[in-house]
Amino acid sequence: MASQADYKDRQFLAVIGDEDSVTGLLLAGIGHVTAPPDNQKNFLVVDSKTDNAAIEAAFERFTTERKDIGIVLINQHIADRIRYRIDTYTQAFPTVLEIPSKDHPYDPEKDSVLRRVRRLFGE
Amino acid sequence: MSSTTAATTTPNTTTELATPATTQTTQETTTTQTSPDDKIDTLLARYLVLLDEYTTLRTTLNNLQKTLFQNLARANFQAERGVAYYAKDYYDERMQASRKLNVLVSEKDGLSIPEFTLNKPFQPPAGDDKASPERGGEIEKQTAEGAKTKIQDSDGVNDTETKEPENVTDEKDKKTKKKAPNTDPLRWFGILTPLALRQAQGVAVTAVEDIIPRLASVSLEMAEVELEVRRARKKRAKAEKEEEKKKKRLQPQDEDRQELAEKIGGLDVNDEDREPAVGVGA
Repeated sequence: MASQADYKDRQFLAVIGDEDSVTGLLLAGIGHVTAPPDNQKNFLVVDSKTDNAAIEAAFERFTTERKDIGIVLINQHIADRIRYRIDTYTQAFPTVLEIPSKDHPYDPEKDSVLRRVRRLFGE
Repeated sequence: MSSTTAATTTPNTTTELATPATTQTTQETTTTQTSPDDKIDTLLARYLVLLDEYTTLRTTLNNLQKTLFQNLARANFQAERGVAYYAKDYYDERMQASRKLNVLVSEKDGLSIPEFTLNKPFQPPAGDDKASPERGGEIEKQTAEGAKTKIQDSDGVNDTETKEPENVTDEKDKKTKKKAPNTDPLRWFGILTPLALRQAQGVAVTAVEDIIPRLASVSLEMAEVELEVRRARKKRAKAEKEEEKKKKRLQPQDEDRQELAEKIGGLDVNDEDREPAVGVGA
């Protein structure tokens, strides 16, 4: 199980999502920009111009590089673009959660947790 | 005397007889609890309860997200085109998180389960202009210290004399202290934000405070239980393999015995056949 050092300083939520999802979650007061000169944001707004490499880099940064993030929220349709990366991610901290977006409602078939459930019951 | 001793001994014997029976029953219950099949069953039952909670949390999160997007769309629709659009262009580049996570690891049925909770920000009572205690307190301290040094620089004659002006300046500082910057994200979009945007914020706060941390905790607990189920299944498979091996070891011996028995039987038959022949011959 994870040691105390793994979760002790994990106090932020990170978001990778479309503009409305990120705006909504930032309105709740989870947005954080670290002190200069780093100025690292804990969110990434993804639009039609954002390429998969940028999404993957953000995911990598939030999950492995930064040690202050406890939960990573990602829109399901964006998670689909880096599905191989999401499915192979097995660490407890930070926890990755897929959330629905405005244009793409939640699909339980694609949810990584429910996929795990199906695997456990041998389907 | 003998009758009394008999009377006293009989209860002892009954208790002695009763105790092994109870121990047997307890042993039986412990064996049933520790058997791999039952362990897997209890783990799966727990897993299904968690799955149920996960799905209910998912549906509530979906509903909250729907209302959030509706409210955001309404706010954007009401806004004057080109003047205000409630999106990334108006985010504060120096934003600081007012809602932070708190992770606690607790022991649950032999498994260490991490649990996420959200630290709610300090909300001053309505009509109170006081700033949040963290920042306001820091600023207050800084201003008070600054005032003290100023006094010491100006008239460093006596300590007793300086005490009185300090108190006076503290009171003045309290009156003229700086307000801490408002960390409410609504302020990024102006002072008079539409009702729909405030409603969107309310929905987002419920999602972030109540649903998302619990959803993450349940997801982690499910992962832990999955691991335990897999371990228990492996143990059961190993135990089954060992049993099969034992059976295989025993089976050849049985076959040999059967062969021997057949041989012995055959010899007996032959002997029986022979005996009358011997008798006839005699």
